[in-house]
Amino acid sequence: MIELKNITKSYARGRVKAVDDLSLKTEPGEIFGFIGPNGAGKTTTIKMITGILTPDTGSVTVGGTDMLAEPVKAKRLIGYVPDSHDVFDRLKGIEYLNFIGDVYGVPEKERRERIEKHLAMFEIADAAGELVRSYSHGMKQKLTLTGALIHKPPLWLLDEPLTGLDPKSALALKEEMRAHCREGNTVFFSTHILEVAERLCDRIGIIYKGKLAAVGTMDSLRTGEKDATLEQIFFELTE
Amino acid sequence: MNAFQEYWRVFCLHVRMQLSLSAVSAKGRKRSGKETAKMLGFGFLILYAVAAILLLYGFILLPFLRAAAEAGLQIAVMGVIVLVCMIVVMVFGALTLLSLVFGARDAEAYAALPLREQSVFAAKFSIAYGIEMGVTALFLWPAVVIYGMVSELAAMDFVILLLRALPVWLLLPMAPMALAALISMLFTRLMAYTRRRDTLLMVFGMLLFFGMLLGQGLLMGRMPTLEDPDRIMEILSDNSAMLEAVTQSFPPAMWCAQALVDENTAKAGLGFLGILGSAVAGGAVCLLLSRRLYYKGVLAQLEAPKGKTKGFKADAVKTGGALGAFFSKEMKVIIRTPVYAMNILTGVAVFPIMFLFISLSQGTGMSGGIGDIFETMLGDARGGLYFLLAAGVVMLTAVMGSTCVSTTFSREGRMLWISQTAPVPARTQVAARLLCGFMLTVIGSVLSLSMLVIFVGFTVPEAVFGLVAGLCTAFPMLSAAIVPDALKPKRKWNSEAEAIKQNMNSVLSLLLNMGMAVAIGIAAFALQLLVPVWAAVAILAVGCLAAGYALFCYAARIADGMMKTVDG
Repeated sequence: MIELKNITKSYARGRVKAVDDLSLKTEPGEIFGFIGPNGAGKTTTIKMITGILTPDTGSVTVGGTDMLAEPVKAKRLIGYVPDSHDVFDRLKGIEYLNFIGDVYGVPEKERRERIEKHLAMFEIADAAGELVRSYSHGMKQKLTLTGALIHKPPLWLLDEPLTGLDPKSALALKEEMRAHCREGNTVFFSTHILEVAERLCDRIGIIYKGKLAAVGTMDSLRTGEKDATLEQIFFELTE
Repeated sequence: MNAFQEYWRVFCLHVRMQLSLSAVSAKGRKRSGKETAKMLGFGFLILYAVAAILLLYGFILLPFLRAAAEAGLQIAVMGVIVLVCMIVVMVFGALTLLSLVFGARDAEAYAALPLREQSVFAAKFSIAYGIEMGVTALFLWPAVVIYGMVSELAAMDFVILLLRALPVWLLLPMAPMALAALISMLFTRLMAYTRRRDTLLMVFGMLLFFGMLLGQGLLMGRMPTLEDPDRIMEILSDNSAMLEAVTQSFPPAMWCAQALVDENTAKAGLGFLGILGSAVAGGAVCLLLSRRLYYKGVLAQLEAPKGKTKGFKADAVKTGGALGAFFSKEMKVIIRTPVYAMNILTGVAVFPIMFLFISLSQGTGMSGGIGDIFETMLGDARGGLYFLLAAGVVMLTAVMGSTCVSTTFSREGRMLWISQTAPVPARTQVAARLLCGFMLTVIGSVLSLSMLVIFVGFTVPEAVFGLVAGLCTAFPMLSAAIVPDALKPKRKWNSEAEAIKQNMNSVLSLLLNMGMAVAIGIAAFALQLLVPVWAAVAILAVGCLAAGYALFCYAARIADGMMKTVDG
């Protein structure tokens, strides 16, 4: 679903390399966890996959479509949830969802079903008619999650989605991620909660100083100790 | 830390942020030649704009002050200038305070710190005060210099005049700003009790705007009229009586004028003491009240409004196209954000309101008021020229409303990621934003032209054809206005006011549009001398539409590039 080939992204006119010659491939139907210390390049990589940032070198392909050559086509395949949860706060929740629905061209029937389902799932249906600016941080996050699922994207891309969610909503989100994958879609998410990554992900990528330090299933990551936890592997690779 | 140290810390922090000093001095930050050239170019443009405004203002002031000097009424005229300046400072000061002091996003962060609330209030008030001192400088200093010139002062007297003007300039904004702060503080406190805060804020902003026009009307109303010759003689015989007549509604204006130019040393001294006293009293009252009202009012804005929540209804799900979605989002955000609505809607509504006020205060219809002025100016040539004037009004409405498009990407700020990840070409997004600017131009123009038809005697066909021709010229202007913001949007802001009012893209677009309006005006005038008016208009319309399309394509290309490189 995602294919990153030797992507590099520098800031401050090349002085800081946020992502350095990174290559990665994910398959349909898998949950891919992307972990790394603060400033390792997780968000920059995710922003390059979404088309927000253009890599200095290398290529990004989503569902076989080159993000640089056909960005509009590639973006149709993605449902993105940023880490900031900044939404148009002068719109009502339902107006934001209608806006996203229009942008992705979701027909009315499907749109109504999906909005109804996800608003209920994240327990924000009661606030849908209110202005987003009156929402709490967690409610804004739930709204962006609903918006990202409205067009049933083949690739669900989430940047630290569990931060700020209450336990019930976090559980609902994890179940939704699993359900989304069961339908043959891909979930790619970054997180700092290693236990969640360990339990939820089919494969994990560890990024450190802009480079992919390791990638694979939990079993394949355990090169040394047989029962090593993801936490132990993480510290081994990043210290 | 004592209260002053707290104040100083917060004040310095805000100065650094306002002037982006931290970014300038960041370690390892070196400018390339291209960046330096760009910065110098921007600086030159700003200087050019300020110089142009000062030149125009001086050009208007010169004959007034010369006539006043000849009639011995210079103190009264200076009083009028000071009074107008104070009204402007009060109205714009209230708007600045509402956004910078009472509506800033950092209020919560400050409230959590161990700082006295009056220290935070005073620091932020000082920043707003500094901004209004800039406004005061634009009004006051040219008037002082021209006054010195027309009074033919000796070199030493000129220096003394400038030295007298310095404390007046420093203290002049205090009384109107204190009034604005008190009104804003009470208003913010009041807003905490209502559910419809944004609507109330918008109404308050509009009332302030109308208040400024009404204040000027009141000022004109206090001037002696031709129907009362005895009163004129009485006032004209005494310069001070004239000053008192025009400044009786706001004594600090009289004190400022006396401190500035009164030849009677005792009166000048009293005037200076008057403004000093009113400034100290105003500041003290504000500080005292801020201890009780500032955080209460500001933090109440951050709370969710009380009332029944509106849940999801299946019939609220509606479908539409991407262009419509971006257009509708843009309109909703403008209308629902008080500071955007006040800046953008006031811009397009300024001409209709001005026409309405002038017409109502000078009689209606062709029999009197501005109708007569138009008749006298244009005489028999009315047909073609009225039509061109109507088109000119539409063009100027587009210039005034260009803020809508010239800050469109900046206003999204941190929300730009939504536009960046949307599977909608930049071309469609730019078209939707232009459509929004176009829609507001149409609304403002229709209102203005209606006023001209009702009060001035323009015919409906003149107005309609003028509207169509004017909208053709609005296309390249609005397309050009979006270019600076598509190139480099101001994405990091602490309050919505910063996104629109402290945005260089808005100033650049305004300058660009003014230049284009002048060029189109000259071309229209030259063409109608060479060919019949209809042919001149047709040539211009085709030219403008072609230029508009070319500029639109360019803006779309620039926006596409920007959305691929700006870190969302």
